[in-house]
Amino acid sequence: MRFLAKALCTLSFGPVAIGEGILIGKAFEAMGRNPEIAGDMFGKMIVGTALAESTAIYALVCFFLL
Amino acid sequence: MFLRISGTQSSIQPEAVFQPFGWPISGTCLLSWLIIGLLIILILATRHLKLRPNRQQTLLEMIYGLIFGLIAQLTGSDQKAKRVFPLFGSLFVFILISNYIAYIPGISSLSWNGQALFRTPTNDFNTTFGLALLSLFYIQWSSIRQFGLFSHIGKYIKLAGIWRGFRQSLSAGLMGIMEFAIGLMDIVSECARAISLSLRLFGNVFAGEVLTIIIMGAFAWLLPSTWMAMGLLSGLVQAVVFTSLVSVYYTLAVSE
Repeated sequence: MRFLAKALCTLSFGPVAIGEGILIGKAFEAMGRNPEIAGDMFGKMIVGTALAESTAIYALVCFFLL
Repeated sequence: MFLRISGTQSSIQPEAVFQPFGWPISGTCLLSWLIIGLLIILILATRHLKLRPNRQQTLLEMIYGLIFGLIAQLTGSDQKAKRVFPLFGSLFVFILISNYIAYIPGISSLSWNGQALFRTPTNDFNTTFGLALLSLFYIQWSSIRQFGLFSHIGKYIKLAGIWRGFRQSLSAGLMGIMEFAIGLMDIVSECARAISLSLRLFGNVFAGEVLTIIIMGAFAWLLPSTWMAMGLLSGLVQAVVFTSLVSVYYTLAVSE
């Protein structure tokens, strides 16, 4: 039962990966169109990625707590 | 098997190493005092700065410039960045050093009474929650200092908006009630910020360490070093993210 709960926890990693992929892909698209803002964009992209990743981190904390 | 190295997985709760007078002192505490000592040495070393820098000073100034540039970019002005730099810059340095200090060979294998003597400070939820609470209280305090106590509370409990709206018209008054509810939601989101900031840092560092031990147990050649090199990157990214989120929250709190 405990392992089933852990397995359910890991399910949330997939959507987060998809979301991060979309985020980084779009950011690179914007950088490619507009290379002058690339440096400015990179930091914001990292922050956004970290925010999106926090969902996965909560799931990971639950995974270890279970 | 010589291909595998087994290690003990650390639990989420840090164990007490010493217990003088029944007061538990964990390895996290010891290592963070060590890091603070290191930072104090750094402060003492930078007392005699010269106008024409030598090599070490150039390196330090470069690092300073990078952190300052990050904070200035997010707060939007050099003046604000200068005001918050003493706190947020030291948060960055502390988190970065504590993420990296575990990579010094041997520091994690020192033990006392069969327990690991040191444990990475950011690998303990108490430390990260403390750091998040400290920075959020600083943000609240600087908002109070800028707007005064009553208008700071008025940012969360927007009773004045309802009063002004109903004097204007009925629909504006209903909008005022809406704003009041949103203001109450902001109180919840402030609390959620503390939890999300600290859990993000703790989760990343803890997961990194656990995965290193698991990978070591699976295959001890070459693969762990790749993972640890990735860990160097993520340690830097976590320090950057913590600092930039805190400076974004600061900017949101003191603007308008």
